[in-house]
Amino acid sequence: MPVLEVKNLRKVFGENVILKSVDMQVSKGDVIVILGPSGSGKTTLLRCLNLLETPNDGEMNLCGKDYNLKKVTGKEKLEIRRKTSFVFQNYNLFVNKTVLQNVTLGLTLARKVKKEEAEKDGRDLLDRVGLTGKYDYYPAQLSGGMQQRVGIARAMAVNPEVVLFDEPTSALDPELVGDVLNVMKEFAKSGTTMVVVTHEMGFAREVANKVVFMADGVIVEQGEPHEIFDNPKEERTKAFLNRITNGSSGKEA
Amino acid sequence: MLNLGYFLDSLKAAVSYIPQNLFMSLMTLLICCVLGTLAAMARVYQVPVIKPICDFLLALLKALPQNLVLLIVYLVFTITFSPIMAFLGVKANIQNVDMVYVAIAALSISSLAGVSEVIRAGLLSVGKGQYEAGYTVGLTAGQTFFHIILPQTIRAVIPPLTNSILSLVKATSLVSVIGVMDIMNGAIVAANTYYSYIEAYVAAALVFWVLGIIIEIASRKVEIHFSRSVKQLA
Repeated sequence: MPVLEVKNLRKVFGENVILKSVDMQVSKGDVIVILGPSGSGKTTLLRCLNLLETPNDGEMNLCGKDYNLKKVTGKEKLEIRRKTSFVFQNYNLFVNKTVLQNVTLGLTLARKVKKEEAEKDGRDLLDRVGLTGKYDYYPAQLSGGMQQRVGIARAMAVNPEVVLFDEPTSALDPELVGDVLNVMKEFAKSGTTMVVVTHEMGFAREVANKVVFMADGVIVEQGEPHEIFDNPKEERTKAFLNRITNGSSGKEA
Repeated sequence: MLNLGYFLDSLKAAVSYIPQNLFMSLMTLLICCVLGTLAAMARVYQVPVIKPICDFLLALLKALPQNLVLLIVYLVFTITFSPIMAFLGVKANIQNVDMVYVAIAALSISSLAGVSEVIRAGLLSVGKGQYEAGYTVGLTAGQTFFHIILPQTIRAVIPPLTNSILSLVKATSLVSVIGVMDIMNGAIVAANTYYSYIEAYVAAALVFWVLGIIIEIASRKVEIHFSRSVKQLA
């Protein structure tokens, strides 16, 4: 049974239909990479999954509980958000909190975990992402790559059922991308369920167990990475992959 | 030219009213900060019905000169006090009411718009991503506001708010129009005997000057405290 399932997800901004009836399933331990051209609705889909955007229509089942996304209450939003977590493209660390406080706030405030316990978990996670000794730094004192690793530690700290990554490496200098991807790989290997919007084809090939290709607000094609990359069935997928692999960096957004 | 003796008389009188001025300033600041924050929140977060009312009222208040507000509030108070007390069934004589509170009400009304605008700018300076980050780790809107947004807003508003506080302290010198004593009026009254007004004005100026410097220094200290998370810009 899937951990997270959405059906008939629809999102409209004014006149623009961003998502037209998207269905998606995420099982425990899945690493799903969402690919697609700019404006295809990838980020909006991800943001709808934890209700940073409220969908206009759709149903969700998260950990066996059904939600009607059309009229989701504030309480349900909180419930869904406490079972998921999110890594932002531009990190969005709490600028007035230290690195350690960034990681522990979701535990101490939202989940009422004891401070000492949360700080122990927080330090362990920061060690895992290679930030030993930076606990008391403020975000402004760190490089982009370090900030994003804090962002990942913060997302992992709350022990989420699903972690959502919104282009986690797109804002980074090229030489910093590797560290962040390595951290993500490590968490993927240890069984974390992830949905990742990215343009990093290497990561998609190597780490993902399912690749979803989106265009114009619909899922055009999905399957295992080798199916999508080596043997795409849809024209739009082929065209997109051609453009990406022929581009020099493969990061054209 | 200045007579030291007269000057010291005026200075003593002016200094004796410092607590009165500070009390009026602090009470006004407190009222303006609380109401101003609520109004700013209503406007920034686009609260239906309340936002347009705040927009309208603040625009109205902004346009009025402070001494005019003092006079209007004073008159409205003197006319309505007895009927209102009678209606409430409270036995109260207007003679027993300390006009300082009327002055505080008037100063609050005339300073509210400015303080609220400063706080609104502070709220707007915090990016949407900070709210979203709070929500994604499972914080409620209230927790996000008090732990993430408000501390960042405070840091941003301290420099412009210091200006508002200085204006407020200076505005307390206007309250003599409704018969409330203050630093400036105290100095002038002491000068009445010998017509030593130059000495009185210099004494009052000196007191306001020292108060201004103290407020500046205090504001700097508070700013440093709230800015420890931000890299010092070269």
